[in-house]
Amino acid sequence: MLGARPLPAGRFQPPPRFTDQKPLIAAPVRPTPAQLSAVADGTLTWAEVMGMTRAEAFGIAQSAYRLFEFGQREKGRAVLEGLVVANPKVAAFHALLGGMQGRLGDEKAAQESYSKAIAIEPGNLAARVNRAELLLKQGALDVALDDLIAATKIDPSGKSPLGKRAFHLARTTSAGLKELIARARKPAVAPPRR
Amino acid sequence: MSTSIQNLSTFTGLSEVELQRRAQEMVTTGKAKGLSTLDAALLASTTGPKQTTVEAFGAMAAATQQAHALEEPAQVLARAANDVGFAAAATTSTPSLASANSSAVLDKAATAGAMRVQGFVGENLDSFSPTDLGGVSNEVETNSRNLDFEQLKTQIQRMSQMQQLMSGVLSSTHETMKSTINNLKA
Repeated sequence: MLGARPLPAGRFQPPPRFTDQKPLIAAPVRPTPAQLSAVADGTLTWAEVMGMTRAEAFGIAQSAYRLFEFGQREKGRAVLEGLVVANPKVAAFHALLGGMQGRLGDEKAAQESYSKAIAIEPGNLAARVNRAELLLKQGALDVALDDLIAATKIDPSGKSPLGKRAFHLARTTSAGLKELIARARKPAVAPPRR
Repeated sequence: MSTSIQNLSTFTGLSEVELQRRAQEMVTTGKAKGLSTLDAALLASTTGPKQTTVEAFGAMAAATQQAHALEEPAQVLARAANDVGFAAAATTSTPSLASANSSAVLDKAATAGAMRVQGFVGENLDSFSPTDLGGVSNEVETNSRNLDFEQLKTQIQRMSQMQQLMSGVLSSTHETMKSTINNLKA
């Protein structure tokens, strides 16, 4: 008679039962005066004080990104602002926050966030491309050129969507400016004598 | 107006006259050299998208393109990066870079992170005082310490706000999962 063969002991673990029990809160952390002074000086981050890992921080950032993309824009931004406070040394968080601020219409704050991201990591493509675009829209052509040059060097093959965007912007700007500069350099033609 | 100037005008929102004035300014101040550098960078990238395949940011493109591109954190995490300012991860709980962009791994990490922040702000939000910053010897130091204290207090409040929002997100996820399982059981 065929019957269910017993599973070898120790090789099968049943999935954990889903209960209504909420996960436990991590052990409370009380910072020492030395740690607080270091946070105030900027030599230590809150993430280090509370023991937050890179994966945990990026997990929270991903939740904020999802909230923002699915329409809860202010909530997404608030979560990311908290994350930037917890660790202000990550360029990707500043760049993402800048993008959210820009999409919410706060272009001044967005530009500041992009600048912070670039100061931390000059090779941050998202911050470079977005700041270049922002500066172009403000008409600051000369400043935007620096960001476009850097962006085209970061992704010279234009493989990523951001790299492609950099090429679009660079070519549009280059073609227009070349023509304008050629006109500006042309000596003014004197009106014909009568 | 030529097409390339028209494209630039549409994109920047500046008139041709204004663009011409700014170009003139760039020539005068010597900033036009940056354009040669940009051209050199574009020429050097022979493997980049070809001119013909790249659509210029014309009137239509400028109107439809979404500015302020967002880079998904999962993609950034999957790239090897040397971010600083984090606690060292325990070897057992660190997801490998290959699996880092998996949704489940990130959700688990987000939950752990939110719990950690909750433990931290719960302990420090109301009981935090200027004396926690250590002793001071004179008035200047007292003023400086009070300033630092206010700054740190604001930061903890910002993290508390983040934690409350994350808590809402996590509990709604929890409820969704619970009802899905209950529906499966029924």
